[in-house]
Amino acid sequence: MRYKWYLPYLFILLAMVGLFVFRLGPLFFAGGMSFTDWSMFGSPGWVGLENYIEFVKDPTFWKIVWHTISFSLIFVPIILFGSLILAVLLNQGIPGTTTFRAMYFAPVVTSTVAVGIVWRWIFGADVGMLNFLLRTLGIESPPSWLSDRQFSLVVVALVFAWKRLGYYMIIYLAGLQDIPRTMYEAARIDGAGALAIFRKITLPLITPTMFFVMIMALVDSFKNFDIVYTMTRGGPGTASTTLAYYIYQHAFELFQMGQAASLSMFLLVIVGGISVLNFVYKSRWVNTQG
Amino acid sequence: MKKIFMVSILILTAGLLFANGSNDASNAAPTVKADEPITLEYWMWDPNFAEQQQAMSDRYEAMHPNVTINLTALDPKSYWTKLAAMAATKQMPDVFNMHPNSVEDFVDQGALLDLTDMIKKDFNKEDYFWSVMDSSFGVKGRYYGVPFAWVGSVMYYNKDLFDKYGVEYPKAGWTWDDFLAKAKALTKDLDGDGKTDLWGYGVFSRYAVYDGWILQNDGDYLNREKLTFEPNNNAKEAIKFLYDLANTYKVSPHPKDYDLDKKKIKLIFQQEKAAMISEGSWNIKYMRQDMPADFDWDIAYFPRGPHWKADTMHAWADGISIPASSKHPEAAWDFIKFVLQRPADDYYPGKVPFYKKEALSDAWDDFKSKGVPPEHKTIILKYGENAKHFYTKYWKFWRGYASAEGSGLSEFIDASLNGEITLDEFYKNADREANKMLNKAYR
Repeated sequence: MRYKWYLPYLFILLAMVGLFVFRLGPLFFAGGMSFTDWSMFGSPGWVGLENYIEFVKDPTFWKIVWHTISFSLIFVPIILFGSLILAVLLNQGIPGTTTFRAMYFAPVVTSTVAVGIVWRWIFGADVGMLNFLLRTLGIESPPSWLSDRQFSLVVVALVFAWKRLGYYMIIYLAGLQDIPRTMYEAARIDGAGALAIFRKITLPLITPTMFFVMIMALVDSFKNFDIVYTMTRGGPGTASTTLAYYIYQHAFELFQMGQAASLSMFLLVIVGGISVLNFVYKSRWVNTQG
Repeated sequence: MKKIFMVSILILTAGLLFANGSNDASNAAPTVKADEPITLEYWMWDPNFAEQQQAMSDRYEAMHPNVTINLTALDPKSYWTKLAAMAATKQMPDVFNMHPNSVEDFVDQGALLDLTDMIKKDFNKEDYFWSVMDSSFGVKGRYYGVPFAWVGSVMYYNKDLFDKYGVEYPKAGWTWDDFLAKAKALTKDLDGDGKTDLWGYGVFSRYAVYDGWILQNDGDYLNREKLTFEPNNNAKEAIKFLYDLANTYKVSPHPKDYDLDKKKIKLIFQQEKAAMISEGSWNIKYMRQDMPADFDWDIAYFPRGPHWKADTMHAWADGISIPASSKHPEAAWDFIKFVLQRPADDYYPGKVPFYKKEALSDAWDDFKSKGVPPEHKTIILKYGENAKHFYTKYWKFWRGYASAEGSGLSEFIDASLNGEITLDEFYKNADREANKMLNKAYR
C-alpha cells in the first residue's frame, strides 16, 4: 500500500475528536462563557471582563482562593511524603505486604460520599469517635472539628489525603521497582545502613516519580468538590469553601454559568501556573537516569 | 474578539439544542383539540411521593382517555439543575413542581407561564389558604404557580420531659417570658459534672428553625420595597433574644457543640438532649416514621414577642407551574386543578393541602381520626391563615441553604449563637454579605 499524506491523521482522528469534543471544546466554551452573563435560561449577553473584575474586587473570592491553596498545601506534602513512606515500607518484602497494600488502596476505590459520611461521624462534636476518645483521655472540651472554622478545612484536606494516599503509594511502588537492585546490594556491601540507603539511593532515584506524583497530587488537590460537599458543604460559613465548590455553587445553585466559567478560568490559571513553575524548577531537584 | 466569542457560543449552544432534539417548530401551535392525544410531562422533586402521584395521574388518565401523564420523580438535589438545563433548551416539562425560593429566578428569566387569569377565573379564594398562595407564588401582583400543599415552622416539645420536671405545656398565646421560664426549668445537668445534659431549647441558623421567631415579634429583616437586608427593631429584638438564649441564659447549646444542622437538630430532640426545638411541620413525618420518638410529644406555635401584633406563621408552599413555552397550557391547567383535589391522607403528615376541604377533614387531623401525635396538629391550619416568609431571588445564597447552607446570613447567625461574634459584628457582617448577594440579584 502506498503512503498517503493523510493516513497518519486518520489514525489519530478518533482521539482528536474525543479531545476536542470532551476536553478542548468545553474548555474553549467555558472560556467564552466567562465573558457573558449566561444564566442557563436565556441567551448569553456579552459583559466583557465584568465577571472577572467583580471577583477580583470581592474579598470573599480571595478568601476562597486562599482556602484552595491551603487545601493543596496540606494535601500535597502528605501525599508526596506519606505515600512514599508507605511505599518504601511495603517494598521491603515483609510478610503481609499484599494485605497492607490492599488495605491502603481500599479508600481509593471507596466512594467519596461514603468516606465523607464515615469521617463526618468520626469527627462529630458530641458523639464522634475521635472526641469520645479524647474525652476518655481526659480532654474535657475537645474541638468541634467540622463546625469550627479553625479546623474544618484542615480536617477535610486530611481526610482527602487519607483517601488518595493508596493511589500514589502504588505509583511510588512502581517507581521503586525501577531502581536497580544492584545499587542496593553494592551499598550494603559498602556497609551503608537503611537510612543512608534511603537518603543516598532511593530518594535521588525516585525523584522522577516524585515529580510525577507532585504534579498529579497538585491537580488532584483542586478537584475536591465531592469531599467538601459531603463533609462540610463549604462551612462553617465559607471556612472550607474551595474554588471547585464555589464554582458548583455559582453554576448549579445560582445558575450563573458566566460567573462559574470565570471562576473556572481562575482555577485553570492557578493550576496551570503552579504546574508551569514546577516544570521550570524541575531540573533543580529531579534526577533523570541515563 | 467579542464577536468571535459570541459566535462560538451561539454555534455551540445551537449544537446543544439540536443534540437535544429539535421540536421547537411545534412551539408555534399551542391550540389543542379536545380529543387530540396529549402527553403531559410532569416533573416532581420527591421520589418518596411518586407512588401517590402516579395513582393520581392514573385516575386523571382514566377520566381523560386522550391524555397521558408521564411522571418523572427526581431527587431534590438534581431537580433544579435538570429543570434549569431544560429551561435553557426550551424543553421544560409541561407541568412541574415549583418552590417559592426559586419562583422569582424562573419568572425573571421568563420561564413560567402567568397563571393569574386562569386562577382568578377558576378559584374561589375562600376554598383555599390564600395567604400561602399570595406569599409563595405572587410576583409583582401576578401568579406563576399554584400551591398543592404548604408547610410552616412549628415548635416541637417533649411532653414526657415537661411532665417529669413539672413544667406546664405551652398554651396558645404564650409569650417569650413563658418560653424562657420553661426553657430554664428544662435545662439540666443530669449527672452533676457541671455540664448541661438536657437543654431547654435547641436553636441554630436554619430558616425553618430561626425565622418564625422574627415574625412572632412583628419583625422583618428584609426591606420589602428595596429588597435589602435591613432588620427592623422588632427583628433585632428577636435576634437578641435568640442570642441571649445561647449566650446569656444558656438554655440553648452553642450550635457548634452539637454540629447542629437540619439532621442534628432533630436528633438532639429525639435523643432527649433538647426538650424543645423549632423546625418545619413536615418533620412530623420524621418524628412519627423515619426515627420514631419513644416519648410523648406535641407541637405548639412560636411564642409571642413583646411587639407581637398578630399570629404570623413562617409558612410557604410546594406548588405546580406551567412553562411559558408550554405546548398544552389548557391541558396542563386542567391537570393541575385535578391534582389540587388530592385526598388529605395522600400527603405527608405535616404537609397541609392547599384545598381547605381536604385540610379541614378528619383524614388530615389524624390525631382525631387515628390518635397519632401531635395532638395539636391543627394549630398549623389556624396560623397558616396568615403566612409570611423571606424568600427572594438568590435566597439560597444570602440566607444560606442547600450547598451554601452554612454561608450567607446563616454563617453569622451561627457565629453569634456560638458566642464567636457580638451582635454588632453580626449586623455588620450580615449587612455586608446578605446585601452583596441581594444587590447582585436585583441590580
